[in-house]
Amino acid sequence: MKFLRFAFGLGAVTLMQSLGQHLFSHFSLGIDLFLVLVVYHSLDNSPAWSSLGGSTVGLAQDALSGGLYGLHGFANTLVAYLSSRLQQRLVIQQPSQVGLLFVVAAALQLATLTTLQFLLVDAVELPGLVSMTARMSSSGVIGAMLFAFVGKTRELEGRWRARRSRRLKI
Amino acid sequence: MNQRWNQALLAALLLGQLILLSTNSTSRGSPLEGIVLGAVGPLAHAATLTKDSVVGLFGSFRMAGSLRQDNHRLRRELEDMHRTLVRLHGVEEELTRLSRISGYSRPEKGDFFVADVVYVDNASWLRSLVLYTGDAKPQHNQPVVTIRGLVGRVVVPADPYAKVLLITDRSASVSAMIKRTRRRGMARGAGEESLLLDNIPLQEDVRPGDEVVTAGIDGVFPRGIPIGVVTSVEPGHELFHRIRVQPHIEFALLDQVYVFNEQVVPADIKEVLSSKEGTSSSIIRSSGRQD
Repeated sequence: MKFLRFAFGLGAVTLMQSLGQHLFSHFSLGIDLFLVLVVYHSLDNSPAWSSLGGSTVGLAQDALSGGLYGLHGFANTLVAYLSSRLQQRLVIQQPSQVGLLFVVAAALQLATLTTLQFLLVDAVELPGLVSMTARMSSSGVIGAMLFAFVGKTRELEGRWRARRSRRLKI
Repeated sequence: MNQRWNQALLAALLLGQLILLSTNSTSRGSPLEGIVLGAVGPLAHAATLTKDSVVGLFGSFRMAGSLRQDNHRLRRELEDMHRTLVRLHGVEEELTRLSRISGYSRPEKGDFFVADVVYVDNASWLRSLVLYTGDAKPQHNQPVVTIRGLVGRVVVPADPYAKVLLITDRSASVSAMIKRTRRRGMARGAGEESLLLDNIPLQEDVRPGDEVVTAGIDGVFPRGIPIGVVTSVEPGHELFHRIRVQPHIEFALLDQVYVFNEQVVPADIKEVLSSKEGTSSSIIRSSGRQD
């Protein structure tokens, strides 16, 4: 079930990122939905499962984007592991805290990608400041909204189940 | 799962991907990349179809009023095109006849197929396209063009999808020449949707506005495909100009491209050349700098 949910998430994110890119030509400069999936997935999973998820999402992203194959794979694996460890240590529950975690994760991903480029590619072009800021803030906002939305949905579902079981007892 | 197991798995994943990174290059994708592209390509293609149908639906309402005018204009354009085509057929026949008389054997002009762009990645430091090629089988190093000029070349064929390295990618380079003077140089991607034209000596006459086309000596791109226009000429380091070229293509707006089936250098000759160490093989590889 967990695997199916993850696969569905990856499919949906690929579809939305592609659609966004088609509708707004500079979509991928400011928004990285793959990263949102990686961090969100690591929020309620073990570091091992998160790393595997991060790796899979990263390689899928690499297949669609340019540059060396494995750049996003490496960066997202690291981001997923650290996000999951951080979530375990600090028990992050509030949407604002989750948003901050997404911002930190986006910054870490950009730093890892840039470092890898410096080490492996001759001519490196650093991402622009506007693009970096946009990516970090959009990841934070989308991540916090997603977390809040799923939390609210689960709460409503819980209430509905409780009401239903009470009725059945009567 | 305990912490040691988590760390071991993380280390294994990172090490595996470092090996993957160190063994591949942007000019030739890895086999794993082709497999993954084959898996995620249909989703990117589905996004294209969704966008096309939504845009088409709204577009048909919006454009309903101007259809008659457009129809009239397009008919006129079609007639003009037809006249030009007839004239060009005459020119081609004349050229063939003259070539035969002078004993000049022109290289065979190859075929091409149309491909849909399903994903454009123009993030600041990575530039590529993913194409849906349908029934046509994409191959490594096939040139990709539009009616306006050169786009790039296929680096990962994953039938029916193909990843294209754009000419503006920093790892891409094309043998090019200035159309006015026929002076050859090397155009390489400079990011930010521009190119640099290298190896043009300072004494050479180059002006902003000069047209740059493919030189056809790299074994990948046929000669004469428009690349872009010279936008600035500055004295560079050593003995060469520093020439910036603006491509004709606006890459972010691409939705359909043409992929050449033509092999500039036949595959069997390429194999023989690449098996030998020397200048010939380096010319063939020069179209895509190895990382």
